[in-house]
Amino acid sequence: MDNSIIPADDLSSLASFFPAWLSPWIFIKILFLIGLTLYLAFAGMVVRQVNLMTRTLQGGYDRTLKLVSWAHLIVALGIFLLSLIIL
Amino acid sequence: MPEIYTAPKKKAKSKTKTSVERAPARFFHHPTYKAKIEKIIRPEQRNKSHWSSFVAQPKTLNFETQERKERVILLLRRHFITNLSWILTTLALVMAPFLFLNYFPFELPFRYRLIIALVWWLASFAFAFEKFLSWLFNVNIITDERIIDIDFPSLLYKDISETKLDQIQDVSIRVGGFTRSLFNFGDVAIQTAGPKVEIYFEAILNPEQVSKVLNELVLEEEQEKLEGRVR
Repeated sequence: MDNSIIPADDLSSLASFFPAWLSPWIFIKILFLIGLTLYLAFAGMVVRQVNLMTRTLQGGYDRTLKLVSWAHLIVALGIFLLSLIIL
Repeated sequence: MPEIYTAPKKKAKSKTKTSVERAPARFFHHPTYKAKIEKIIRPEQRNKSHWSSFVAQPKTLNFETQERKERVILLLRRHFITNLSWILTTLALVMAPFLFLNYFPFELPFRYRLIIALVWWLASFAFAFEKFLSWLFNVNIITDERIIDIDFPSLLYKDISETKLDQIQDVSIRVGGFTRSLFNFGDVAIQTAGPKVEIYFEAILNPEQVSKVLNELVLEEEQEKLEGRVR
């Protein structure tokens, strides 16, 4: 892992509490992934909301809005996978 | 034995129905009132896109609690100018990563800054999308039978209020302020005898026209009751 950007006095003191193979960045990554999981749940709720709304009022824009809500969910999933890989 | 009389065979009625099988609404059978309403609504206002904030006599618009013979006369939303605040907020949110990510309290590796920026933009998009959906689906509908107020106050929460036209007691308009006078939008307050005492059409375009249409519809309802044309 690239720690060269981090000021040495901030993280090296923390790192001394952990074994050599365990970086403090793992915990930050876990926090990111938890946050992104919650966001994925929100994106799923947006899809449900659009379905509910288009069922209540049908005006010819149903397909476009459903497409946008699904695209939002897919992009959120993509960012989750990206952070899983690169963080 | 010779045949004396052979009754003609009745043709079987087709069982296939269109998605909305609808007889002409009784209101539109009455030429006088149809003409009066069409005088109030200008020709350029009819057949507008369903994304508009003032949709008159839409042909392909349906709502969940619509009855078979019910015809939508007006679909009303808040004037688009009321969306200006969240549009500007969204633009500010989109620009924020460029301004603030370089000034984080401690230096983050580039990959973390990338993920934060992507999530920030996605959340900004979600904010704008939610606001847009709220504008698009919080509508007021006037049909030839009743007035309906559809609200989505929050995620997955729906509130539909409706009142029959014969329960309308008073219609009043409130237009005030520079922006509202300039863009001709205001509030229409409808006092009813129903369980919901007041139905409020907020920030709608052409409130005077809406008031005229409602008054005509209420008069038509009273006339129908006198003539015994009630459904």
